[in-house]
Amino acid sequence: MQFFFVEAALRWWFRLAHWGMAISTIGLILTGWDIYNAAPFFAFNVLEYFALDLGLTEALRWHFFLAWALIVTLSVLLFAKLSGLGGAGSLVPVNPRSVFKELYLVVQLRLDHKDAGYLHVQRLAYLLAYGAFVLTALSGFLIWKPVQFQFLDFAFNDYETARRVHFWGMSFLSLFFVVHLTMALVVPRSLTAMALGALPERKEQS
Amino acid sequence: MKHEMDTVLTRREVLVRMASAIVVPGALAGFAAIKQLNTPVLNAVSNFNDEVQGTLFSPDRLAQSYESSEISKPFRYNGILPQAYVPKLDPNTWRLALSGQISHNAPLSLQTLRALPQHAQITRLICIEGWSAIGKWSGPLLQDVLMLIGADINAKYVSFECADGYFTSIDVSSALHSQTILALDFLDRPLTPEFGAPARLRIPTKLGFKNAKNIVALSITNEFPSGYWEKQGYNWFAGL
Repeated sequence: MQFFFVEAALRWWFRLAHWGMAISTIGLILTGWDIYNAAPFFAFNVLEYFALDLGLTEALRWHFFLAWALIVTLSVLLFAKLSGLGGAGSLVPVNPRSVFKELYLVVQLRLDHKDAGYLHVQRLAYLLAYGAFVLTALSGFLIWKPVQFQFLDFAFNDYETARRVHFWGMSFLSLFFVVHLTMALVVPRSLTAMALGALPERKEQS
Repeated sequence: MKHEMDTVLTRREVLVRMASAIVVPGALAGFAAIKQLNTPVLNAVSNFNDEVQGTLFSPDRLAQSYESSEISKPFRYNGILPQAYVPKLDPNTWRLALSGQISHNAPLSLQTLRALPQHAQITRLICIEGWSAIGKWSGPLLQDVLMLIGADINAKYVSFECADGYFTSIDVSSALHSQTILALDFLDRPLTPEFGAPARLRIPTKLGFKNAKNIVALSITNEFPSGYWEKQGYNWFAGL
């Protein structure tokens, strides 16, 4: 009984952290667009039309606030994951054949997600998103501190490369969010799971 | 049986409704509060970042150096004034005014600064906007200048005033860093006005806006001097 309360509390922490992380990541992406617009490195800049237009100073101030918020929420999330109380299902293994089969079913609008746990295509998407997340965060640290954190040069070569990795990581994460939210809207039941944690198994009704 | 299940709210559905009853007005109130709170909150974050950066700063860690072939050409002009309005100071009459916690406050001439050992560096200047450019600067180490004027290195800040009204300041530890120079030359020639003549700060461990140009006054102080952009919200430490 005692353990049940600890578990319930951790579950709520996990949800709060998930939302803190989602809000800070989305905020980081949006303020990042404003920062990018101060000195774009591509001739064709779509972000001009989507940015919040906070101005560089405000955007940077928010970006750093959100970066700290992300560090805090991510630590809670990792703690919950590691203690085994947060996760909904395993992300490994990813079977390429299953991924293709599921993608084919998605295209035909015939994919039925009944089983507990993640589909292989979901596992792949989450793993790629985690990868992009780590790359974006690490390149962000190098952009912030190219001198003090120059040990990160081994991964990103130099400041200018880190800026580009940060940009492409952001682009992948933006795409992931769009798909993530679209799928959640397509399967409304998962919205409750997102907001409140994994749903208990539904009993078959006769 | 099934019909009955649909009309009765499950515990989870009740929870969802309760949560949305709190979350929706909460989000609206939060949105209204954000404008009121953002300045003090974001100021606090910026001050906290100053502390963190002061801790992360290592006097021994050097900014990367580059080869002559990697120098950016042309090197981008940047300043608070359009290029045509950059103040043109006469190098013969120019003096660096000194004040604050120092023992010799006679203004320094260009000859005096040139007489000090000159240090050259090819480093990357990184602008807060994100762009960067590699250039070559040379001049005396700021620590040699501070030693010459008998600066109190236990003080907290070194501040700089420029001919165009720009001003900024750095922490004393960064001022004593072995790559912090009072640059007199750019690309092996005396600085031109748009690149900071007759003397500018070149500090590769800080963002571009800390690299004050066309400097006319230097001060060592314990009173926080802030800066032109810093007063408008840029982070003060701005370390790299």
